[in-house]
Amino acid sequence: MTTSNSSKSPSKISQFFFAEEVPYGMALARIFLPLVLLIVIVQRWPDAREIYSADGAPASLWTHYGMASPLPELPGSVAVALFSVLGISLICSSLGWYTRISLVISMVLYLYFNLMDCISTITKYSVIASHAMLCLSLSRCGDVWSIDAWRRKREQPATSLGDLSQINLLKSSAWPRRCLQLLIGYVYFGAAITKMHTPAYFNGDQLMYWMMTNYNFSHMLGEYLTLVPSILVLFAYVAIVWEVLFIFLCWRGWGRLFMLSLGVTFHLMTSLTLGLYIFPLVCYCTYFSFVGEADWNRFFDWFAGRKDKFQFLVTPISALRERTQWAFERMAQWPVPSWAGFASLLVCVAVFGVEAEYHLDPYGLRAEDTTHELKELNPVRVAEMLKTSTPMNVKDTVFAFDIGTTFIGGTLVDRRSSFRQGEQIHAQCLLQPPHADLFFEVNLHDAEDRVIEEIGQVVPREASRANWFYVLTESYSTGTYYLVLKSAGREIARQQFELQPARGSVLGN
Amino acid sequence: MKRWLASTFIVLYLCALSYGIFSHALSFKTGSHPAMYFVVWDMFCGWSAYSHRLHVVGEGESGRYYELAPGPWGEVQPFGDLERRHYDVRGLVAGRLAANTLDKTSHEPITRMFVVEEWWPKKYNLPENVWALRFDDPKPLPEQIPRYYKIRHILDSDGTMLKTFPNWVAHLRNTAIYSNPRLQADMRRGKTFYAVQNGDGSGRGQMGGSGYGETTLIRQVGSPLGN
Repeated sequence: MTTSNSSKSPSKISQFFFAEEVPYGMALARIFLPLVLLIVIVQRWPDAREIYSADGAPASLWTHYGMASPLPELPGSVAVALFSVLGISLICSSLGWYTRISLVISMVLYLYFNLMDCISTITKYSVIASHAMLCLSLSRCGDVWSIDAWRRKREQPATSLGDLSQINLLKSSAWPRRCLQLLIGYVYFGAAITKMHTPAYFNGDQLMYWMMTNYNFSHMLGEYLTLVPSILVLFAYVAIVWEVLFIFLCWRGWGRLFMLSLGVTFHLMTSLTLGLYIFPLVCYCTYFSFVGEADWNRFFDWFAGRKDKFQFLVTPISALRERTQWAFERMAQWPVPSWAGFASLLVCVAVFGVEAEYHLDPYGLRAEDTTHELKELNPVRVAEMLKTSTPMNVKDTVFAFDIGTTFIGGTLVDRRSSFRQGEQIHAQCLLQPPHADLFFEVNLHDAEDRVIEEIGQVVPREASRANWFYVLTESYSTGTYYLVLKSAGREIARQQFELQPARGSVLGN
Repeated sequence: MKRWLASTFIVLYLCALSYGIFSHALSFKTGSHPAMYFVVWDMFCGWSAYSHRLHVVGEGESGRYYELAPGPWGEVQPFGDLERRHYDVRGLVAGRLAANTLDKTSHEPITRMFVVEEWWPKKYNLPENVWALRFDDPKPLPEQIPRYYKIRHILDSDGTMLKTFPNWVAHLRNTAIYSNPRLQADMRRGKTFYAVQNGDGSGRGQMGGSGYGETTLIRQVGSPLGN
C-alpha cells in the first residue's frame, strides 16, 4: 500500500506541474498585468529623473538595510531613456509582440527602478508584480492572443492536419502558472502570519488607525467604518481565516470559487477602506493564473450556448469586427515586423522620451531668467520645530471617552446617552499608544455637578483601552448625570447621560 | 534537459518562498538583506495612532533657515496628495533630497541641516461629518490641532550625519520607561559615567541613537521599511 502510494505521488506532482495545456490563464495575466503596471509608469515618468537618477534623490533599497547599494545610479537622461523603454516594453508585453523578450526587459527594468526607490516605488504589490513578471517570462503566455501568435499563424503554411493539431502546438507545461498560483498562496499565508504578530489587528485598532489616513490614496469608506469597530473586528477574523485557508482550498471546485470570490471582495474592500488601487489590480491579474485550459473551454462552451442572451455584447463586437476588417486585411499585407523593427521601436521611444523630458524641464532650470532661490522659513515656525520635544499632553493620549453597554472584541460598540435604572453602564477610554503609565478616574456627577462616586484605576503603558463599570440601581434618582474622566485632578472628557426608570417599575409605566 | 531545468527552478523558487514564510513566522533574519523584502509578506505590519510628516530645514551662515524639501519646483506626489519625502519614515533619504535642492538653487552657504518630524493624533484627520458622528465636541480648527515636533537627524552641509535621535513615538515610549525612578537608579548603579542627551529639558533623558537607543527598546516589526 505504502509502495503504491509512494509510486503514485511523484506522478501526481509531475502531473500538477508538467501537464500540457494551452496557456489561456497566463495569456490573460500577460495582457492585463503590464497594463496595470503601466498606470504607475506613466504617472511617474515625468519625475523619473528626480526619483531614480543620480541627478535627483534616489533611495536605494539597500540604504534602508544599512548596506551599500550594488546598483549603479544612472545619469538623469539614461534613467529617463530606460524608464521610457520600460513603458514601451510593458505595452509590447501586453500586445504579445516579441513577448518573451518584452517581458524580460520589463521585468529587469521594473525591478531596477523599484530597487532604486524604496520610499515611494517599491511596495509589496510591486514585489508581487515582479514575481508575476518572472513567471510570465518563463511561460509560453505569448502563444495565444498575441501579435506573436498572429504572426506565427501568418508565417505557417496551411496545414491539412486540422484544428486539433493546431491547438496541440499551442500547449505547454503548466509549471509557470503553478508557480504563480503558489506565490499567491504564500503571499496570503505570510500576510496571515503578519496579522498574528500584530495584537492590535484583532481588536480593530490597527485597521481603524490605517483608515484614518490617506497614506495610500484617498478612500470612500474607511473613515465611516471607524464608526463601527465591531465590523472591523469581524472582518479582521474573516480575513485571517481566508488568508490561512487560501493555499489549501484554492485549487479546485467550490473551494477555488469561494477563495477567489473572497479574494476579489477582500481586495475591493482594501480599495474602499484603505485607498489601495494598484495592489488589488495586480492581485486580480495574478488570479488569472487560476484559469486553466479546461476552465476556459468550459466558459467558452457556456458562452456559446447562451449567445442569444448576450446579443447586446455579440452584436456590437461583430459590427466592430466588420468595420475594422479592412484594417486587418491591410495589416496582413505589411511585411512581418522583424527583430530590427522591435529594437528600433525601443531605441526610438528611448530617444523620444529623453527629448520630451528635456522640454518638460522638470526642475525648471532651462526657463529664461529663472534661478531658483531657497524658500526662507519663518523664524517663529523654525523655533517651534527645533525646540526640544514638548512632553505629551495627557489629553492628547485619549482618543475617545465613550459610554454604552456592550463590548465586542474589547471595543464598546453601542455608544449611548440614555440608560435605565439597574442597567450596567460601561465607560471606555480609548488611548493612543504609546503613552506613559497613567492614573485615570471616572467619576459620577449629578446634574448639579456634585461628585457622587469616584472610581480610579492605573492604566499601564501597554493598554489601549481602560474600562469602568457603573450600575445605577433604583436608589439613584432618575435625571441627568455625567461620567467625568479625570487625570491628576484635571478633567479630560465628560459624557452626559439620562437615567430613566427601570423597565416595569411604577415610574416606568 | 528542459524539464530538469524547470524542476530545478520550481524547487529553488518554492524553497525561497518557504524560507520567507519560515523567517517571517519565527522572526528570523527578516531584515538581514534586501532580498528578504521579496519573500517576506509583512504588508501593513506597522501602525501608529499618529500621523507623521517630515520637514527638512537648512541653517544658513547668516542664521536664517530655509526649506530644503520640497525644492522650489515642487515635489513628487507618488500616491495621493502626500509628497514623496513623507514616505521616508526613517528620514534616511532626507539628506539626499536636501542635497538635490541645494544643487539646483542659489543660496548662501548652508552650515547644518535638520530633519524634523511633525506628529499629530490621527483622529484629527477625520472629515467634519464623520467627526460629528463620532465625537460630541466640535472638531478643532487646523491651528488648534496639537502638533508635536521632534528633531530626527542633524546633518552637516554635505549630508553627513552629525547626530541622530529616536523618532517621536520611540521617544515617548522611552520616556515612559525611563521615568521609572527605580529603573533610573538601576541604570546609574555601578556606572561612574553615563551619557544622557537631555533632549526635553525635563531631566527624563532622551537617549541618542547609540547606546541606550531605540534599537533596544523599540520592537522591530518586519522589514526596516516597516511598510
